[in-house]
Amino acid sequence: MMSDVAEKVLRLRDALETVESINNQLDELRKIFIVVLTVAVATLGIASILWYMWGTTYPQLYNMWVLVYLVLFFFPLAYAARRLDKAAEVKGFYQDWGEKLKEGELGVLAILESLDWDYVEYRVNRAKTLYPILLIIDEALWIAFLLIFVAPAYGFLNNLLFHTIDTPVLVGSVVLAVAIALAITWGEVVDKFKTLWSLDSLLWEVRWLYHEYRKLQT
Amino acid sequence: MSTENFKPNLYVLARIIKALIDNGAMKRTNLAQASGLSYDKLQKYLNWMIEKGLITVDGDGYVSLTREGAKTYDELVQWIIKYVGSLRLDRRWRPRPT
Repeated sequence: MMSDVAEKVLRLRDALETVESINNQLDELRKIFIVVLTVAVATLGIASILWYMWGTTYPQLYNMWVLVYLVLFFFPLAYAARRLDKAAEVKGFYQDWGEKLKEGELGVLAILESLDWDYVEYRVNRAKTLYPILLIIDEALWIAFLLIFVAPAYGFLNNLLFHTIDTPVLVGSVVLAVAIALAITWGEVVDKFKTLWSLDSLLWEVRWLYHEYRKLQT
Repeated sequence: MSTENFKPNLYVLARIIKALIDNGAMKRTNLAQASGLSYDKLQKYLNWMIEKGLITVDGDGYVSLTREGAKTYDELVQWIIKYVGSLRLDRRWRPRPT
């Protein structure tokens, strides 16, 4: 009987660690946005100043724009992907639960007493509500990354076959990048939707257990 | 001393009862040691437990568990099995080895 309880507690730990991981990623978004915006503004500012100062004297500096575009495109992608990956790692939270469970029923009580229930409920609710934002950002990063390869290839093929590179071609390359991104990450997308669904039921289970625990305390 | 506003930590309460179940009647200092509590903290819990009829303290200062006290521990264990054991958590939350 107690082994069932221990398994449930460990499942709860896994669920709450996932919740923390999602929340950490959400917390990171604001920082990523500020850093990316700052770097973009700074890069454009420096590039403009250099162009006005030296561009007229050294016209070959015009090629510098390639570097500017590269920084503006690659940096946000690499930075956001790295920061989100790092934020997803949860360390320390609920780590001692395994050790506590060795105490049997006393350990379960220790775990329940150590939980800040209001905080847990808030974090599960926040993760559940804002999780779709992470899903969209993840797909957007994939699409942007694929566009690096798809757009030139699609443009080149159109130029070769139809001798044209215009707006519909650009739209076509975006549509193609979206399709490829979805094909590559489809399993991940389905998994994330399942996680979203599981978070909803987790919220109800946490509320129910908290309610029963408060009744026990009184 | 009134224990009206005292809200016990169930883990601490269970530790005290478990120490008494395992060792039988005990002196307060030994009980404090066995349950890993400071003497002052233990005293607060003992006052509350006496008021609730979970323990008795005899003239020699030995603390012993009442039938009600032993029942309380069983009830805590049953509560854990009933409520924590019946948590409906999705299969995707897989317990990792500790």
